[in-house]
Amino acid sequence: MLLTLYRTEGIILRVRPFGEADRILTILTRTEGVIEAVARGARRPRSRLVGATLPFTQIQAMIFRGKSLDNLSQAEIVNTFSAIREDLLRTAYGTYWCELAYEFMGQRDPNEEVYLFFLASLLMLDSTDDPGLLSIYFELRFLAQLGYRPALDCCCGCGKSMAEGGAGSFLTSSGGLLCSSCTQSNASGEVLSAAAVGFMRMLLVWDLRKLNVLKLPDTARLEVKNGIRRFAAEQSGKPLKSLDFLRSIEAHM
Amino acid sequence: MFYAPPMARLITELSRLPGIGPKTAQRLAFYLLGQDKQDVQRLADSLIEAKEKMSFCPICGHLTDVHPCSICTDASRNASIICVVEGPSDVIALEKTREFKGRYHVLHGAISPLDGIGPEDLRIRELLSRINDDIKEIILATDPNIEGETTALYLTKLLRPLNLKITRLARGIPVGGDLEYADEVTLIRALEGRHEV
Ligand SMILES: [Zn+2]
Ligand SMILES: [Zn+2]
Repeated sequence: MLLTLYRTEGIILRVRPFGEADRILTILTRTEGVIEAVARGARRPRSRLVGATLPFTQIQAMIFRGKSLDNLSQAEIVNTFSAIREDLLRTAYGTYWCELAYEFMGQRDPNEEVYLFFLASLLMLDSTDDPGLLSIYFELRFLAQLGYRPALDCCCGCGKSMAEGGAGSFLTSSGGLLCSSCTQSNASGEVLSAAAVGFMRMLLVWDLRKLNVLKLPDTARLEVKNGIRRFAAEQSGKPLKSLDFLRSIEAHM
Repeated sequence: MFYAPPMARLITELSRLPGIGPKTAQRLAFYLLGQDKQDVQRLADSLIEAKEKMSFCPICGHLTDVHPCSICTDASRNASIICVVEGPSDVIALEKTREFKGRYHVLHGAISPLDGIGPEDLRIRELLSRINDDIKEIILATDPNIEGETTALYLTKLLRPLNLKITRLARGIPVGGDLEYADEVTLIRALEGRHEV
């Protein structure tokens, strides 16, 4: 069999022990999309791969393409994002993002724009004072880039324009919005205040680098956060495992 | 069907063991059938005996045949230090060094949100119930991977208000390792953990 070796840049999303001393990595790569690769011997303390095969780490990698699993041959650390790993809340957010990435992105479906967005968000998570706001932004924009974009411009019940504002129901089944009169006849959505709808609309166009100047009331923030999380859970079609942990850390720490 | 039912069953059972594939299971099965009956009997007896007599210590969670375990009842050990580890094999590893003279607490796992393992699945409540005025130090000896680190961070937050000394095992260059081959994370950790000589 002919082995093809390729070079790519990637972010480690998930690490699972495999066999005696190996690791199976789920990697979001810049050029290949999400891939799974074995890192042979990576659990041995003296392995050159031990530090490069930890979650959130950005690496430059040489990978052998395999039939089912690829094989990580060499990895050089570009960024360790150590501030994320040293903070429980940031770790919890980062872990949830990683789960969103491998649940929502198909394997071997390259999307460089999404890769760069994920990377920029991790860089921000490493340094921001407000990881909670960043995560709301990330969750909304990441899903939007993958085609799960909330449609907030007009009521998906009667077609009335919602652009001038007003409260509505956010439908987690479709990402659509119902105006207040349609909401009364259809109570299946997540009811959002006018402020929350406006906030969500703003986040969809806001620049990541200017996130720190965005101010908004806690109640609207909570509404949007819960709405997006339920939207993600519903769209993925299965419970997102790391969300329970994230919620407990957000609540108690 | 290549094998008679008793042989097939043996191979199936052996291949359920961790790290044993079908080929190895087959080799082990042929080996066992080539042994004297009393040798095989001794192996079978030891499996049953270990399973029947070993269970978890109600205090520390280590595997033991007496309750509480001999470490928890050893009066010569320092009862004011508790070393928190992920599994019973970590207790064995630390005991082999003969360096640590305190007591242990086995969590039976580590926090792994992506596998749906949260703090409530570990023996954390049992740890908290052991903490009283006599406990002076908690050593967090979880693995230096994401699950172990997350668990250590979680325990640190939980234990911080209790006015205890909380320590974490030093991480750095393995003995016998080469500095130039160490990765960046390991080097940073090793620098952070440096000490005066
Ligand atoms: Zn309507
Ligand atoms: Zn014990």
